[in-house]
Amino acid sequence: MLRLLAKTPHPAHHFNDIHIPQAAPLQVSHLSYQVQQQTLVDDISFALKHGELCVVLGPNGAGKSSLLKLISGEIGLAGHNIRLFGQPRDIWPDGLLAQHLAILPQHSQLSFAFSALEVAQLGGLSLPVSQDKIRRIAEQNMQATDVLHLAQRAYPSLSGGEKQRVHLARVLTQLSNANNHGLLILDEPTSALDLAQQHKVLQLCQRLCQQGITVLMVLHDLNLAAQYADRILLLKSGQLRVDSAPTEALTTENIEQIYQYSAKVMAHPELGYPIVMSESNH
Amino acid sequence: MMRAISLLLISLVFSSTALANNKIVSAGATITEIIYALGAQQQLVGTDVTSNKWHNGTLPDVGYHRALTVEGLLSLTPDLLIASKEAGPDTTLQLLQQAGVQITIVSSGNRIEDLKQRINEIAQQTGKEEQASNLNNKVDALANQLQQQTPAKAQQQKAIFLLLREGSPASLAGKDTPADAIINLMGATNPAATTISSYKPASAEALLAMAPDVILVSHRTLKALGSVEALLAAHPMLAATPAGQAKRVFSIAGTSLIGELGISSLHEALRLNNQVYGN
Amino acid sequence: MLIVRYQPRHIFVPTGLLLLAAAVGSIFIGPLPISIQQAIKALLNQEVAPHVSLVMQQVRVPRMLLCLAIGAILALSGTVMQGLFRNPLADPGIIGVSGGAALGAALAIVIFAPLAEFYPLLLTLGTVPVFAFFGGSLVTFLVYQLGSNQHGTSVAIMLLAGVAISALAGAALGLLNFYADEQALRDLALWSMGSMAGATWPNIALAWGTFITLFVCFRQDANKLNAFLLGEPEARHMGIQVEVLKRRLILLCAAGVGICVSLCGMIGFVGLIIPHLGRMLVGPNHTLLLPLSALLGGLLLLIADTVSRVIVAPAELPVGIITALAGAPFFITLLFQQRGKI
Repeated sequence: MLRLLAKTPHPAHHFNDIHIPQAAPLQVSHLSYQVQQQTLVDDISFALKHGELCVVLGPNGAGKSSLLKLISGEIGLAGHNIRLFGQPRDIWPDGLLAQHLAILPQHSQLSFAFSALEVAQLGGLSLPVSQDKIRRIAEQNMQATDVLHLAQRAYPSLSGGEKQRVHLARVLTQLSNANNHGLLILDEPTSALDLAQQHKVLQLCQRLCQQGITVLMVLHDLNLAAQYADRILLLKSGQLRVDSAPTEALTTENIEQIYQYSAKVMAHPELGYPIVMSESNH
Repeated sequence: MMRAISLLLISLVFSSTALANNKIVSAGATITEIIYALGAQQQLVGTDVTSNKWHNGTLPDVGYHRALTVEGLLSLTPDLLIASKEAGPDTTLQLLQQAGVQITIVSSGNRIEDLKQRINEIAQQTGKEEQASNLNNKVDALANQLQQQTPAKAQQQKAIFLLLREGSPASLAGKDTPADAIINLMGATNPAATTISSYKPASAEALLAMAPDVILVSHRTLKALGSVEALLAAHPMLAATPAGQAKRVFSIAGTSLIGELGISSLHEALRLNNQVYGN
Repeated sequence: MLIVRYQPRHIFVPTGLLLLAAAVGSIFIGPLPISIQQAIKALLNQEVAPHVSLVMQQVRVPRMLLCLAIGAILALSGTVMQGLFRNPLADPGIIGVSGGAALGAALAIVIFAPLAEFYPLLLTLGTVPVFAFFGGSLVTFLVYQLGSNQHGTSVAIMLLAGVAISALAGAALGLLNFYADEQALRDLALWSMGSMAGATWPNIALAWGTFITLFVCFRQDANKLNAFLLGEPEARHMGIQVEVLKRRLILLCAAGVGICVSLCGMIGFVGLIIPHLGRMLVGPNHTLLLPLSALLGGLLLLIADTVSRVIVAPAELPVGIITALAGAPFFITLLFQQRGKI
């Protein structure tokens, strides 16, 4: 009851202009979060550059999910520690924020028999455009995520990977009005996907970054991160330990320190990005 | 011309015998009983659900007397609805009146005078005044006989009436019930009447504390269990009362218990009086 | 599984026509035999026998209008509640909202009964619906809090909460019954089975006012309700003020159910069956589902009420018995389908 009656903070009146030139899509400064004396996020600061593909890595319990939830506003009150496109997160009006910040959750529960296209169209909820236009945008995005052929299928009957790509089309639809001011957050988007699909999704993210969208995602697979990320954040015990390009971030020492596991790192023979292998039988 | 005359004749016939040729719906078992006792049953076109016993389903049933429906009643094209004061809902009664159905609400109460008042009221509506005075004489005679057979206060037995249903606690009849009226008329006292009204669930302890000399149940209850012994075996707490130990359990006809005090209630009271006091 | 969506007008036009036919049928069918010519004359206020014009104008037409509004309110509330709970088994009756509303209404009846002689109108139009509304909203909040977590709502907990609250309401009603006399007890029992017999013009005005208010409000939230089906966090990320939306919809549903309960007693299963039927026809999109539910709800209650009027004529069966006879097997079928998910 208390939760339901709690007032939602959304003071829109301080909000000025979002198109501040050169303002970082996401700026996190001295962000901390505690639950029952346990520090889940410990004084994290970083800023994302326009069009950057940034991957957050770290062992289980490092605080990756908490960080994402703080940014998406699901937990905590960020105060002015989180700024999106130059404006403190908390003063963004809800409807406008949704056009610039989209989140793809790890799992989505939807038991009602929407068609896949209808789910993708749901992303257009906050867009100031007609239903027909939203439908066209959704279809384009389904094409991009390789699920247009499933448009008329019942969503609950799709496989985990198909569902995930339909939702990806949905959040892309949500950002279609962002005009280069879009931030897409993905929480382990590849967990339900097969090898080819994993690469397709990350390639799509790369393309989005080229189109001016900034992407922040949590991954578990170090090699996928190494191959596609512009930048890697390594988290441990709620702290940001490493923040740099893949080649500098994914070193044997860093992996040993963060994961307490000895791995061998080689450079890809042609493309040069690091490849992480397990040091077997040690 | 012929038609005009015949119409005139018909209307004359109707106006002169209007009272005797009513189409009546009776909403209440007690009312139906009196209509039958007065010999006015030819005028009935329908009754409520509690009156079924009197006509064995040969008349249409208009449902529960608290939930009468306008159209259901009107479909029987009655001129008169005779009802107890509980009948309703009010909106239905108002609409029936608007549709030209006369509504008579008979007096309520569980005393002999109330019963006689009801007989007179119903007789007036059905044009059976003569039969009514006969019936009232019979009621008076019954009442007198009961009065004579009532022992002095000190010798009166304590009697209770119980509604026994499988799987639910026994309901005890308090004041303002026909059962209580029958207990008083038969020359007994109802120890439950001082504390409760209507029917209320009674605990085993409360029953023991009342120490009834006589336990009354409905015919149906006794018939279902077979015998007084079986009834006492099925309800051990009753067996422990003075009435149970002496096996003084008697039954009352259900029809005399529904609604308010009726003619059959008097007959039942007299029968029970004879049984209890051995006249 | 391919989804075939019919053109909305291919669904709405036949449903509308069916509703019209049922509405017209219901005023020509009844225990009192009235010829069609007579009935039309009575409707046009031409000269007919007084009892015919009374039955047409004060019984059949008002009842038809009340059925349409009450059926629509129950169906709309059911649809919204299923969306809100993200669960196709949520029904105001099953999760205890009707029970809470009934308890509120019964409390009002008992508390204000001594005043009834002085303020009969106030009693029917004022206190009973208000108490029913408070009872209903309290239960909805309670069940929602008990049954929901970050993954949505748990059917099992929700149903159990409904059982618990219905039991509580039943116990409280029982207590009221104990102090009520035999007549009031029978009245409460009849009322709890539902009846459309209270079709007076003030009641019809209240029902239609409620229906129109609910429909307008729900329509504005239809798209948000669609997004809500994805889950609360997702809806929030899509720019919806989830708490505000939730609170508004719960209060509106409770108001609708509360007013239905206070006007017609407990009529179960309309809010369960109709949204399902609607989803089979137009899919879960609330912009289409809500108006269709309103039409289908009116249709179902109209048919049920017509049956209740004629089946044991001249007596009348409580309409709640008929909707329950149709709805309970449906509910059991749904439970079978949901077995794995509970």
